[in-house]
Amino acid sequence: MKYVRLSDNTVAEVIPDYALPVSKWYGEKFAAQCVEAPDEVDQQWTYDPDTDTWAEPVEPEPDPDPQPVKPTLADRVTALESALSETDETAIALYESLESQQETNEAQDEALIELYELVGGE
Amino acid sequence: MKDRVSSKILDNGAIRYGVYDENGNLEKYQYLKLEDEPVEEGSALNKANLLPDSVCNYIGIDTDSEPADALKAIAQIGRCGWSMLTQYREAGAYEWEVPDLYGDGKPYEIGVAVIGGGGGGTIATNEKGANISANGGASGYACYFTKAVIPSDTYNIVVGSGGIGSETKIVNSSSKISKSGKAGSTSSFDDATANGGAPGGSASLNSDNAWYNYYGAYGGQGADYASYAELAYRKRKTTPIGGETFFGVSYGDGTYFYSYSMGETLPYLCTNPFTGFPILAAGGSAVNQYGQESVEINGEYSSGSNIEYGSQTVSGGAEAIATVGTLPGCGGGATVFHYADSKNYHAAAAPGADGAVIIYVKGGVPT
Repeated sequence: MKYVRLSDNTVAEVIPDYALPVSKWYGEKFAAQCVEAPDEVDQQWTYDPDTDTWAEPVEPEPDPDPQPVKPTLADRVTALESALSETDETAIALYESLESQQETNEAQDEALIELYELVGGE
Repeated sequence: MKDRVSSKILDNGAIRYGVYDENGNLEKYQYLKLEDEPVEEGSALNKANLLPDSVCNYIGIDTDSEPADALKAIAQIGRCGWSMLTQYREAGAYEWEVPDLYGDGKPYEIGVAVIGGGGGGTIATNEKGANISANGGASGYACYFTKAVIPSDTYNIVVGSGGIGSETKIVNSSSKISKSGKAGSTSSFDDATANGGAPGGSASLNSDNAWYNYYGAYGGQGADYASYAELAYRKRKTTPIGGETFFGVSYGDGTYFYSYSMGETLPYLCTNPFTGFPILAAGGSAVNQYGQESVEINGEYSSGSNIEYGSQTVSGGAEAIATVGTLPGCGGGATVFHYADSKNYHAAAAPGADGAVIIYVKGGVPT
């Protein structure tokens, strides 16, 4: 037997052995979501509390193929604006990164000069 | 930091220097020593004065760290006012006894970050040109809180494991395969919990006998998908991290526009309030058209003094392999593989990373 956590009567996770007993390692609220289950039960299995039975997940019916749609002018403008916005953010991030590196370099230079002076440099 | 250890030093402390001509040729060695009769000796520039082990421990860095690492750590403490006391980053159950940090037996405040295990990535394979897609796993969820604790009290901690990723090795076969990863498991500190991230969803078989799946995985940082569909293909070139969202993208020659859903992302969970740095990364993904594509997904980012990685997927030739990330709770990368004439290939999605429980204290950590 194993312990599983149910969410809407579907197995969200199998509780690892190292975290058993549930009542010791987790809080009351979490432990209340956990139940004992047969060994073969795995994630996404469903539980029927009325009949106390478990069932394997059912493969969903395939959806129709998504059809590509021609973008409207507004769609394309939005996509371009989004791309431009990302470019700006990247440029700002790069600038900040360079600025930060420059500050670090300056601090290191000063430390090196001090060190040089300490060992007798002029 | 390590002190310089000279092998050319006299008993009186004089150190060997080289004297060179303008062409860089060594002319002779000379031994030099300060003889300036100082009125004040001053402090020596060495590890004992600059960065002793006690200071390294106080600011939470390794004792062999360099001064630059110390500066970064100090900046981080100054940024949010917290420093890391201890952390648990491997799946397991632990008991944490509150240390008497300040030696007075009095209660003090801690900050706790609880991160659930990451979801495993999915693989999908199909013949070249067919519709196909797969999702990376989402990162685990997270919760953050502060709490007053009393020295010598104990708390139960669970670090959730990352969900497994899918894998397949095919030899001279043309199997269409779609295998989902598994969800990460819940992490907890006392009665506070953070659930694991969802796995990358398995692809479905459509009426044209091709795999597809256009829905992302849910987690603290959700994952979107990699796919190959007719004129367009999408590959996640960066690991989504830190509350990144995705709404749509245009492809190919720009005449088509797709807008698919990304898995749920909760941006307010994706910045660690105790460090101020982004956290939680979903799995990236890669599309490999046999012999044509080579894609690298690189989720590197800096978190203060450390470099951490999201799951990476590297594909090329007959392989598409994802590796588990180092970031706690990050999702596993997905792989999508198109086989062509040769039907020998190895496709492996990555497992999600284990979650974590990280405990912080205000200011530095007393030694």
